[in-house]
Amino acid sequence: MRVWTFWPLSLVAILMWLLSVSLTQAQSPAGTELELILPDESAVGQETELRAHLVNSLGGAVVGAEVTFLREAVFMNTGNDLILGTAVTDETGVAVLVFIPRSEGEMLITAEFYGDSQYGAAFATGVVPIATGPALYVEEERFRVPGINVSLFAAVLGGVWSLFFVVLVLIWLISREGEIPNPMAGVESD
Amino acid sequence: MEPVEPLEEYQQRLEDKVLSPLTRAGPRYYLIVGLLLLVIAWGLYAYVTQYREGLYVTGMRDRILWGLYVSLFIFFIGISQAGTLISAILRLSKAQWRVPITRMAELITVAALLLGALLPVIDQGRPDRVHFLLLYGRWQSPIIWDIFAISTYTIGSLIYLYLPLIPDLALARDKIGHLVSPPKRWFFRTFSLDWRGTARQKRYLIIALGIMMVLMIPVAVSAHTVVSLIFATTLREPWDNPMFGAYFVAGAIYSGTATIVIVMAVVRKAYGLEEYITRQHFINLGYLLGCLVLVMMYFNVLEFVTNGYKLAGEGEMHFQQLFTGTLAPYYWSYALGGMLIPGLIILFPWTRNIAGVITASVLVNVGMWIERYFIVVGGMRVPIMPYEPASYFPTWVEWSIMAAAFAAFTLIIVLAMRLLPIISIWEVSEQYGEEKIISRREAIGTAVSQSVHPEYAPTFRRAQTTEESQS
Repeated sequence: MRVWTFWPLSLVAILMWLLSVSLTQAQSPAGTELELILPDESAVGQETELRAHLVNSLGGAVVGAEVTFLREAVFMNTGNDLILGTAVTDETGVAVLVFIPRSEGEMLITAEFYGDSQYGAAFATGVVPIATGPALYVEEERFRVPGINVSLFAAVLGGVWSLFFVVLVLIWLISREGEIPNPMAGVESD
Repeated sequence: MEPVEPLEEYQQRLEDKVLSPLTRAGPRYYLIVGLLLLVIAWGLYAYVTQYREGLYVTGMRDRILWGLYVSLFIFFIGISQAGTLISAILRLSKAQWRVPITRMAELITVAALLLGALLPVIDQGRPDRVHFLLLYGRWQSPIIWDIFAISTYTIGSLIYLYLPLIPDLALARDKIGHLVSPPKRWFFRTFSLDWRGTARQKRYLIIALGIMMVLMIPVAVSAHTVVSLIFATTLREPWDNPMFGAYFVAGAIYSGTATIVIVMAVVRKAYGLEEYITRQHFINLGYLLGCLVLVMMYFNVLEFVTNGYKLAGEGEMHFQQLFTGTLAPYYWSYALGGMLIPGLIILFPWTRNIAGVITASVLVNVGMWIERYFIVVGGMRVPIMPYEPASYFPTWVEWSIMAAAFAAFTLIIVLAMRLLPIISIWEVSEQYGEEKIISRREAIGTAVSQSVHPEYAPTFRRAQTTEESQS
């Protein structure tokens, strides 16, 4: 091969190589979409399932991706997102988190995929109405002595205060007795 | 036979001695009040700092949630047992020697309770939410029991302080009413309830006192027991002790008795009451302290033998921190300085005198304060999860508030001494009259009529006689 044909070919090869390298370097992760599937309503103390469906730009399921579920929380006038938990997408691209709400009201939920080398980040938000539920703390009655209860406490306390009242009545009687004019007043001085 | 002073003269002297401080105050009084107010003002500044910055400015930042304030709360509730013990128990058992010191004891009770009840509120980061305890508190919580126990005890103590005051306030109304300021005159007139010492008034008073002195003993015992339950019902190893209630009550009576001795010594000196508050009062209270030293030692030994023998759970760490660890200086100061040395002072005849009993009482009170401190902090310090024990030391804010609490306690007593006769004049007079009857009986050596001779009758005998003659 002549030299004059070798150099242009080499140049083209180098350019092609440079182009391929630059294209590889600049390639961004594939776009993703996250869909949050929430129940229509839930209640305090009730198990609530949060589902997040993660798909790529072509609509294919993203498998094995970690999705974080958060809820908006306000404490001492400071609002922030509170992490409820994380779940990993299954073969259909669905991540499921079950949690138990502890307060009533409209709960703003966010599902977030932070992205990785292959897929870009995505997030979705939604609202779950949480209704009032039964008391979260249910006292387990392990041992009960009949008669020892709040009524007994109130009775003892009431008994003490009743006696206080009797004493106050006696004080009032002392005062009333003093108000009765003494017909002999001044007799002694006379 | 020793010549006996006629009752009228004795009574006149007693009235002059006890009522005169109510009519005038020297510069020393105003100086003391001023100094106490200064300390209280500094404490208020510290509290404002705490209120604005939050509990961050205290030492209670690292898992130790109860510190100096809660220790002080127990200490004050403890010394409030003074009134119940001296006044109610000794009144019930008809121990006559208690008569001149009952008023002081009752006053200590009220002052200590007022301060003690305030301290948990100071301990709160959000005192504006204190009413939540009543709105949302659960009946099953010892804290709620405590609120009811302490408020009942405070109201009862106020009534119990007031009842024996009625005849004395009437006396002040009649004797010095014209010498005092109009507000004080109004106070005497209003709160003496038109007392004239009639038979009926006297009967009502005796019934009321009878009810209260019986009632106040269980109320006081339950109040301090409930305070102990706040700890004993908490799932923390050092407080897991069924004896806590009895231990707290014994400790309360111990520190209460010591407080009476200290206040008694100060009042005796300040008002020259040596004739009425005698060496015998100190010695008797010294004996009481001596008995209580043994009770306290018994409880300590019992606790350490049972819990210390088993060393279950975190018990080992607790005993280690008390005996050889971080809290060892506190523990041994209490054991030696607060129990052993006071016990020895009382035990030996050559130290069992006024100065000795006062010294023992001061040591007891310092020791009991330390004991309250290491009970609270030591209990909190033992981890309930696998982490290193937290450290706690009070900051200047807490020390300042503590100083202000003691100053306020003293101020209440100092101000009350300007408003109320510090010795129960009518009871002391009655006692003197009864002693005279006994001495006369002994002198005559024969049986005398059970009816009281008018010469030796109680303070309000004259009014009673008038009424009887009228009927």
